[in-house]
Amino acid sequence: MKLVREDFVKLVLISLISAPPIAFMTFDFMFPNVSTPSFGKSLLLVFLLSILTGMPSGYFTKRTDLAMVSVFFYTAVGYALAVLFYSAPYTLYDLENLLPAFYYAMFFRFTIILLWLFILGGFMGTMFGQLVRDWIRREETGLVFAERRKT
Amino acid sequence: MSILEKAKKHWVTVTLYIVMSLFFLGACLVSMNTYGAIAQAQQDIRLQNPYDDAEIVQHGNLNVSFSVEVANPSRYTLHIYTLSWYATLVNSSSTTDRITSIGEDYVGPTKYFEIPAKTTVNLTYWSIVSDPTVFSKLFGFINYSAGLGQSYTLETLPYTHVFSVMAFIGEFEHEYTREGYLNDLVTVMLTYSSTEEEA
Repeated sequence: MKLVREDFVKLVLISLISAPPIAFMTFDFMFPNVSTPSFGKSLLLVFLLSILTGMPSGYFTKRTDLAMVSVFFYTAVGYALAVLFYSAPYTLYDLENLLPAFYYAMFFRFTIILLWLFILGGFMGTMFGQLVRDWIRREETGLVFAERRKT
Repeated sequence: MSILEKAKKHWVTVTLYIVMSLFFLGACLVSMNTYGAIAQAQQDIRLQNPYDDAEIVQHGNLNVSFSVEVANPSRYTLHIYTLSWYATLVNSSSTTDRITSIGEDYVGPTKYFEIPAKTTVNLTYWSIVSDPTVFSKLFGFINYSAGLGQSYTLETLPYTHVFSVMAFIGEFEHEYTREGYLNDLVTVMLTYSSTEEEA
């Protein structure tokens, strides 16, 4: 199937709106003592929130392949945001970065499990989102036909 | 149907979606602000106005003292972990007694001490030297220096003062052994040495 302009716009919007939870979870996973509120490195909470974050992708995108691609997109944007937040003292406050080696160690070495949870949770979320949308549509259709039958 | 029309149709879901996103964006900004404040505190917390003195007191004893201010202009309480002060006399010409200990003080983690936010605390240490063995070493240094054309008294000897403080910023608790990298984030290590003349 061909991609239309609306699909791209939707991908961009979903990538931007779904990115903050991913950015927060990444930052919180690295620095649980600094972040507010903190999940305290609970992978279960991260996984559940990943599912919740993925749900809008499925809910608003009819095409499953596009919904799943959007998971990659918003995870990438969220991750980039987390790296930006880590750079905040350096970029915003004009301070020397405390631990420059963290860019490599924290964001590229120790986060395989985290990324895996974001993607897997995101995929599951898209499916749940689509299920919820289909269920709502079925209910709406059922209600409409029920009203017609009455009349 | 355009995206805007679809959003209007599903306004409840879209609103919830945006609220969730804004909540986490806010959490990110608050966390980033905290992180920035910690980084700023790392820069601002400092030692200042170091002062050392030596004077002859009663019974011919020697009082060697040192004071320094720990300035904490940050918005976080500084929890002191260790404080240490060492006063020595370094005799480079001696092969056996190169360093003569004059006084020392150490406060470990068992004794709770904190410096509240936006305050400066003055710390003063002193040691009374009365040990004849130490005095003999000091006079040995004075006599040796006199032979080289440098005149010293007990009060003007070049005592070396080394002060160091290790503290934690705020209440950012974590597992100190498993999450070692977080120690560096909230730990302040400050050292003063009179030989370096820099606080």
